[in-house]
Amino acid sequence: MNETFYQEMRRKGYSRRDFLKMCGLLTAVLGLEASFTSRIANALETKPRLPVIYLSLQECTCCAESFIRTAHPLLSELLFNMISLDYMETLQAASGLQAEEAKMKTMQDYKGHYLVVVEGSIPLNDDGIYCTIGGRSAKDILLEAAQNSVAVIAYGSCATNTCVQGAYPNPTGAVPVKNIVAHVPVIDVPGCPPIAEVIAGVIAHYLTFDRLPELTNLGRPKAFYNHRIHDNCNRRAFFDAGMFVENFDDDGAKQGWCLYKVGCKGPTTYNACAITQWNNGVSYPIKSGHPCIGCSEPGFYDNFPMYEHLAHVPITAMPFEPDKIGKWITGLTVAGVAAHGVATGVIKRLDKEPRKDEEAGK
Amino acid sequence: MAVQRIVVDPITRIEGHLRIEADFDNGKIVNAFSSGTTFRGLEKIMEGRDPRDAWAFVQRICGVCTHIHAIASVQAVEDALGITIPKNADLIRKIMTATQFVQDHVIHFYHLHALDWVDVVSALKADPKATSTLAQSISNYPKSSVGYFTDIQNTLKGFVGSGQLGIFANGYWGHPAYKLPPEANLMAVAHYLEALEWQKDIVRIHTIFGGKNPHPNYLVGGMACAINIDNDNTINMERLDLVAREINKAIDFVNQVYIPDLFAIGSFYKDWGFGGGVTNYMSYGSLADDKTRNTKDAVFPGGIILNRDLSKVMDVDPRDPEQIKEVIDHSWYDYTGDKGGRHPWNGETTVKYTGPKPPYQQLDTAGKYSWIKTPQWMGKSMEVGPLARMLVGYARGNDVIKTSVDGALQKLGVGKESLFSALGRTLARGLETKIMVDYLKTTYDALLANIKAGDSKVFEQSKWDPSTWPKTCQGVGFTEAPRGALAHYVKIDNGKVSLYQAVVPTTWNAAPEDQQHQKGPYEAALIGTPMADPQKPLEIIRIIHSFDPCIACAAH
Amino acid sequence: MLKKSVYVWESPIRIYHWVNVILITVLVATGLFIGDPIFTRPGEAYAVFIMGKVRLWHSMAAWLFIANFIYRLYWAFVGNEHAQFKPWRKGFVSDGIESVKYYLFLTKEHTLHLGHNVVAQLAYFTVMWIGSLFMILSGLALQGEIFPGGLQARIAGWMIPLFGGGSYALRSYHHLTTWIFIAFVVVHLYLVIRQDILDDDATVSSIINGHKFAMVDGEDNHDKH
Ligand code: HEM
Ligand code: HEM
Ligand code: NFV
Ligand code: SF4
Ligand code: SF4
Ligand code: F3S
Ligand SMILES: [Mg+2]
Repeated sequence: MNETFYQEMRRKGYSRRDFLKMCGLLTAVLGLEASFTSRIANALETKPRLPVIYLSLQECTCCAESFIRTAHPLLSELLFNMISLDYMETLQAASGLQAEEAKMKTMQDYKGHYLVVVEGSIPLNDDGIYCTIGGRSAKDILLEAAQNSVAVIAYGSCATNTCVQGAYPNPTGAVPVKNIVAHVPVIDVPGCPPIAEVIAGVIAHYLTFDRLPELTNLGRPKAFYNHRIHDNCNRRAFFDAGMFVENFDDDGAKQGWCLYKVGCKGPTTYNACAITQWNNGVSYPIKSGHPCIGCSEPGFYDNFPMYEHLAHVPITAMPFEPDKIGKWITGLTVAGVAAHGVATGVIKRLDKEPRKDEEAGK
Repeated sequence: MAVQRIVVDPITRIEGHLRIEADFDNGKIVNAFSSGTTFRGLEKIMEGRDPRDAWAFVQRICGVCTHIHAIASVQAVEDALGITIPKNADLIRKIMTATQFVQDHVIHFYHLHALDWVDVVSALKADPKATSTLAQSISNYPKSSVGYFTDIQNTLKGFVGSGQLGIFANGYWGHPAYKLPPEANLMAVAHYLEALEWQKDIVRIHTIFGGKNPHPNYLVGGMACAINIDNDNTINMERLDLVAREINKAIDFVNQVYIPDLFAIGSFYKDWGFGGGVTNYMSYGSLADDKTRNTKDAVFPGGIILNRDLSKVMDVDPRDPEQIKEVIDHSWYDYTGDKGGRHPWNGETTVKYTGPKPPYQQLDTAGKYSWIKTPQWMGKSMEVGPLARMLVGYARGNDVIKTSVDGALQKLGVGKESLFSALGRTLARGLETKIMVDYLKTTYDALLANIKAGDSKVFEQSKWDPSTWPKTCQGVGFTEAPRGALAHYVKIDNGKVSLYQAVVPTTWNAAPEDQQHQKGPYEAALIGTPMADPQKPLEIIRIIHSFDPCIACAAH
Repeated sequence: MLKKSVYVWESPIRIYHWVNVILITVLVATGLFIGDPIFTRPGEAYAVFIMGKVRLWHSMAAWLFIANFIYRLYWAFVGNEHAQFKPWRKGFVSDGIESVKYYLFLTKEHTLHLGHNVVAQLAYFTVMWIGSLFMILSGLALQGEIFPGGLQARIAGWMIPLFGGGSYALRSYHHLTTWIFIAFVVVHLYLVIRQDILDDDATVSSIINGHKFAMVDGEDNHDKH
């Protein structure tokens, strides 16, 4: 990590005396009583809190809303003891130029040592006009901030898979962070939004163990995204038993049965909901009776209609479901085969008739 | 001195990307332009999809007022298909709406707005003892000891002393527009942290009924959370008790922290009467009785007030093609054919960007300059939001609102004219939060009574299957969101959405001007405001924050 | 016309064929049930295990299917000429064109093959080889989801990101390909029976006893109807 302020002063040739004197001055400037000097000295001698630049790009801010709901660590613990949130539009005091200056300062002072958290996708169509901040395009802003960061956390489904705005026909040409950032590690923390304790946990993991978390084959921290919802679901026993909610609020629903047949995407969704649960362990969508909509999965908004097990054929935005396509394929095949059979018979008969004529003619 | 163009971009402590360009002359703002600089195209994306899925997409219009777009959406579809939802579902949705209001308003007051009035650095100089005395004089909130404030102050000192100021870096500390004494500043900082911790709890009401927050789950035709008080995997006593507990905590927090702070801080700023803006106010009304569905005598009554005249209220009808129209004279859109205003059922979202290519320094404010459309009522700009609701409720003679507003004015010792200002908005927001926590309690009681009476139905099945739907139909879902009047319009053709239009509170408030240079509410509110230092836009963000902007909402 | 009986299908091929018929039937039936579990049973979850059993059968059939697939692959190398598939052999393309013309009634000329004609070979190749391989890999990937880091995930886990739509997309394609198998069986049965009737060459019974009839006269086996 970065050297401490004290180390930096020593490197520049100042003595410890100079350092303490400076601390005293700082105390006075801040209008604190003299006893505070030693605390300040202590703060400047220890590791600086991890500087974090939180970029909000093309998004709905639910990820930030989720972030501030973290219960362990509490946001205040995170902000006061663990990180230095030097830029986050949603919370920071300064606006406009002053806000941008704070960001520039962190990027310069902590070159190679700050973390970037990105909420939101990057719209590339039409020179990036669909998301500008301070007159600059989202892409520019992201590239600049990412360049000298330790890593970029793509936070939320917008940043990892473009979420709703990337749904067909993706009018703004939204792309996820990993399509833009190439030279520093990108950690995907998907979900719409992700669970608060998950994002806080990813940051705390990095701070505590001094290394980035291990990732799954989909590029997400194993610690939170290793299992599907389905593998830890509280309704799983009903799935295995074959006891399904057929319609909302039916008898099965009133017994808490499995939501598979009303379109639950738990079997194809990697997220921590069933284990960590939401809002400090209160519930998660399935527990509260609604099927999982797969909000952490790529393209989940084109995997609809929502209330069917398998709906549209993914990625294609074709309005057909596999079984419908399958039945058509089979139907057409049977029809084709039947037609071919009939044609065979007819041609065979026609074939034979001239032969008879020929024979008669002979 | 020549007119100077001030650009504030990003406006922070709001949702989304808002850019304000203001002309500054002779110590004052003489003209202002509000520009939403982000767009996603959700209305387009909705076309061709299953109307039962729509809520999940459009809910993502915003994660701050999460919930309310989903409500407007399911209501629009239910309106189109002629579905009446069960009483339990109606009560649960209302509980969730009130929860949303309370959480959103508290966050706004402490985390988005307070730093415009509260000087964090000044809090370092406060005497914890005096702070404790102040706190105890205005509220019986238990966390008010000298030790408590000393601890908070020490944390803050350690934080400031570390040299890493984080979110407080580069704030406008020491600006002459800050008026609070250090003690009030310290108390406010302490409550900033308290509120941060508390807000994460109240949303658990959403988690119980909707599975998560932000972005809980809904269902066209009711709710998905089955009620069975004799089952362990459904809404039962334990789940309901958690809701009750959070409601009680919310009542305490609002009564003991938010409201006392609001008045304490407000009393120092009551002379700062800027930020009035357009003089017309609109509320669609919401939280009506589920039988009468009459929005005029709802918890938030609907209506229109023109020219600040509280003696007259007009009715508003979101279905009327003459009343509600969106114009795009200064927005980056195009209409095929007639370029005039369009009622949303006849609306269109076709982008046509004419602004500068990024990176740019200044927008062409003579031409189109925003991704936000300009909605109008009978051709007029309308302010929507808490202030509009309180004014309409007041003018309609709603008892609860009238008592609340009169009491507040008396307490602050100011007249009604003070309401037409930035401070008036902030006051109205607090007053309705109080109304909402009380409403939470009564609605929760009503839900319990209904379940006790033997009703456990939460979902109406009869029109779930698309084969039961008319070939074509249209609907509107209108309600009041924390930031104001919200309406979603849908048209359904052969079981699929053929048109989707959302006209959102911040679309009204942050709108650019129209062809006749009639200003949008933000723009109008800024004009005439003096600034101590045009380089430090504290006065601008103060006024803008009083509206609680949400740009993801506004442009969607 | 003189015909002689020729030994075409060696017993391993026949065994493979009938094992495959059984397994595919089981896989299609259990798979479609997994996709749409049409019966549900009331009761206590611990006492019922319908879905669990069907998934178990699907998995067991799947492992046998994989074994059978490998077994057939082996026979493609060591079996007789009819067990092999060689697109690079001389005349493959022209034979193919001939066969297509034949099935489109454009020619009455029909090359009688003791094994399968080129079109049949291609159909078998795409559906039975590529199709089975896809079902196996996607199936393994789906199974691997239950054991992150386990054997199946290591063999086929890469299939999930491959399709861009995550696990949901892969599962949908696994499901969709099921219908291709069903369609294949329809066509297959038709062609086999048709062949038997038109050419009276004992095709149907050949897959049971291994023997087909062939013309005695000459190598190129041209038959005019
Ligand atoms: C799931 C159902 C079936 C599948 C997947 C299937 C697949 C195959 C395959 C792959 C071959 C080529 C053998 C090889 O080269 O390895 C074949 C040949 C054959 N199958 Fe099937 N088969 C199925 C059902 C049947 C049934 C029910 C019959 C009986 C009526 C049948 C009759 C034959 C015959 C007669 C041949 C030899 C075809 C020829 O001479 O071209 N098959 N089948
Ligand atoms: C001809 C071969 C096969 C067919 C026709 C078939 C068909 C199916 C179908 C229709 C499904 C239901 C998908 C859905 O709607 O969710 C399914 C699921 C599945 N298949 Fe297959 N499958 C075949 C081979 C395999 C193989 C070779 C494997 C594994 C090695 C496999 C493993 C699975 C697994 C793990 C599932 C998911 C079941 C669950 O956990 O819910 N399948 N299959
Ligand atoms: N404007 C707005 Fe919303 C609210 N309140 C929406 O309806 O914030 Ni995101
Ligand atoms: S991922 Fe979902 S919750 Fe987060 S910003 Fe995007 S739309 Fe909002
Ligand atoms: S409810 Fe969903 S995640 Fe849970 S067991 Fe059923 S299908 Fe799986
Ligand atoms: S919808 Fe999202 S919140 Fe969890 S249960 Fe499913 S991943
Ligand atoms: Mg709109």
